[in-house]
Amino acid sequence: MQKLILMILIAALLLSGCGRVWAEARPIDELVQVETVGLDPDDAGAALSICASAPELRETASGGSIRLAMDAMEQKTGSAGLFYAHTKFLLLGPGADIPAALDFVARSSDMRLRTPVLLLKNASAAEALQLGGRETDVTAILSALKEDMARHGVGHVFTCGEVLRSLSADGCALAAAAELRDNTLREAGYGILKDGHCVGWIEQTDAPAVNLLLGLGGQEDVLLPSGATITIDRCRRDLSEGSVCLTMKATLTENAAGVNLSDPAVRRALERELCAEVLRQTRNVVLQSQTLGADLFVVGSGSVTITVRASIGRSLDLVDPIELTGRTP
Amino acid sequence: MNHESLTPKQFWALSSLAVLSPLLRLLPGRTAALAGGGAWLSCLLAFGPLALFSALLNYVLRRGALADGIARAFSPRVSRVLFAALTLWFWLYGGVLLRSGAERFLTAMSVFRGWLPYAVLLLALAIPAAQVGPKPLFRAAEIFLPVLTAVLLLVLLAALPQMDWSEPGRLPKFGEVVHGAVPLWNIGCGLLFYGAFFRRDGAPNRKQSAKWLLRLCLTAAAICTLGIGVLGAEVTAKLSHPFFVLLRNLSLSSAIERFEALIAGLWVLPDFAMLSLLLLLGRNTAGRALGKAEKCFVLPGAAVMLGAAAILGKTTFRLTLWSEQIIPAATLILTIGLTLSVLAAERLNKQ
Repeated sequence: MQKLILMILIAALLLSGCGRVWAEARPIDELVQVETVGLDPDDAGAALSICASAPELRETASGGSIRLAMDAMEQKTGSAGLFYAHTKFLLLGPGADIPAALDFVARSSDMRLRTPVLLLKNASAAEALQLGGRETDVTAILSALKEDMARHGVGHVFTCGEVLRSLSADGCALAAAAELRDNTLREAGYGILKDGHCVGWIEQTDAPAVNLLLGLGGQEDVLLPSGATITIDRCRRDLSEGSVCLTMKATLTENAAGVNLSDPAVRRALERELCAEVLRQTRNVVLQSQTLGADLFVVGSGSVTITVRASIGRSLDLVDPIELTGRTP
Repeated sequence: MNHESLTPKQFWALSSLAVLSPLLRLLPGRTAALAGGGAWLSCLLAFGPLALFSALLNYVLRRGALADGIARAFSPRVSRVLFAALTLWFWLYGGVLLRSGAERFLTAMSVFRGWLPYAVLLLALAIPAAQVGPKPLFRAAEIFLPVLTAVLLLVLLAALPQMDWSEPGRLPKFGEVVHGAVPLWNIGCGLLFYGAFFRRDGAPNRKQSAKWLLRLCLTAAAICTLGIGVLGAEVTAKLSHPFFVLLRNLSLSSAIERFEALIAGLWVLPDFAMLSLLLLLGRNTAGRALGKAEKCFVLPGAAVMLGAAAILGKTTFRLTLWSEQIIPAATLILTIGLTLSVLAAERLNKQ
């Protein structure tokens, strides 16, 4: 029996792919670990761009399909060691075939459905992959952007799996958008996907409302017309057919307007101002999705009542503004 | 079949190990296709019919193992025909198991270009295990089961942070939830039925069967909940091997990633247990059908399995038809039909 158990364990190891090591092993310094993959439309079919940091490689290759573009990439780079298993980002340029890209990732035994995906608004993926210098590359830029968006609640980078799940279940989905500005990538709201294609955009100014509506978390900073900056700490959402209700708890984080928070009337006015701003963003987002026929928030296609409640519970760290007025002797 | 020294613990260990093979072939994909987000509820619902079948089987087994029951209930000629049919069934099922196991490796990891190396390797392990007899196999299952249980728990825990809890909450109509219980129902019935060939009088008892079934339904419900929560019901239903796609996307605190190959490698163990079990059952029933020594039927059984794997799995589409439609339907008809027939024949003989 001991022999049997040993044989089974060896077989398990061989079948797991360890057996391939003998045939296909190559030194780690010859292995090109692809970190960001970009896809653009191309006359041939698809243009695949890759960015790897060690060894540094930025290259674009075309093919009739993504698979063929990958083969062309191997021929172009002269490397059979392109390793896609740890791809950190998938960038889709304007007009890229989104269903084909998601289908490719779902079928691939290398790439993963949890790879974050971003749509590019004003630049091709090939251009974006050339960003950065010696110290940083597009992967570092995208990592910082993703973290920043999550931390400040100004966006959310969905994964390929999340997009595919929404498209399969509801026929529509959101995907984070980025744009090329000042020689770097910046958040640019969301792309609205319907039937696999990008049919419209939610502008960055309205993007925080998406995070509130989807309960994506993050502390959202809102600059009010009065000049005060409010951070939304928590938001309870209640969505149903024809109704949206958002209840927020917020903190005053910058009192440029110099409002006196110890005065309940002033506080209420500030809360009203916050509600009006969030209501504006929410209305825009819901209207935009309804116009495009994408029920992203499951509120239906008819008239939607939006209720926003806010309470500013505290102020960091001053309750009242410091009096800066004085007298001359 | 020589099973005098089998303990109930060993018996249930092999059943638990072998059940993981069909369980992850059909779940959560097939259940999600039938019951959508309510797949987990379907798995819990399956407990009722399974417990009923288990009670029926326990009643038939009150006087000994199932093979003895068949021999007692029917005339020698009918018994021999039934044993021959059962032999063919076990070998056919073994062929589908070989091919679908290989297919899992091909699609999940692209380890081999063809299915043959996997099938040959698995048969090379199962043939000696089946020739020696059930005891070492059941003992090995006792050792392997804790490893697989720990791995399964680890996978389920690692999947928790990626869960979207609203997905399993999207319940379909009740009829669809009931329909979704069928895959687990046939898996449970199959394993109870195959195990019945190794049972002795009164053991394992009703309480142990119920406990095992409860564990099976809860495990299946957990797999469906997490599969659907991570991938979504629609995507889960479309994927050939959703559990292994789920594995590919797991990460332990971003420190350990891409461990699907190792876990898929470990899934050789349930395949090995199930295949050895089918070879053992085939040699037993073939021996009874032809009245010859059991041992000489292991190699022919393996050859038929290999042939069936080659013919039935010519394309993956045909394999899917066999694996997801024909085999499950035939399992339900065979297990319930034969058990009821034995019971009816016993009654008639008494009168």
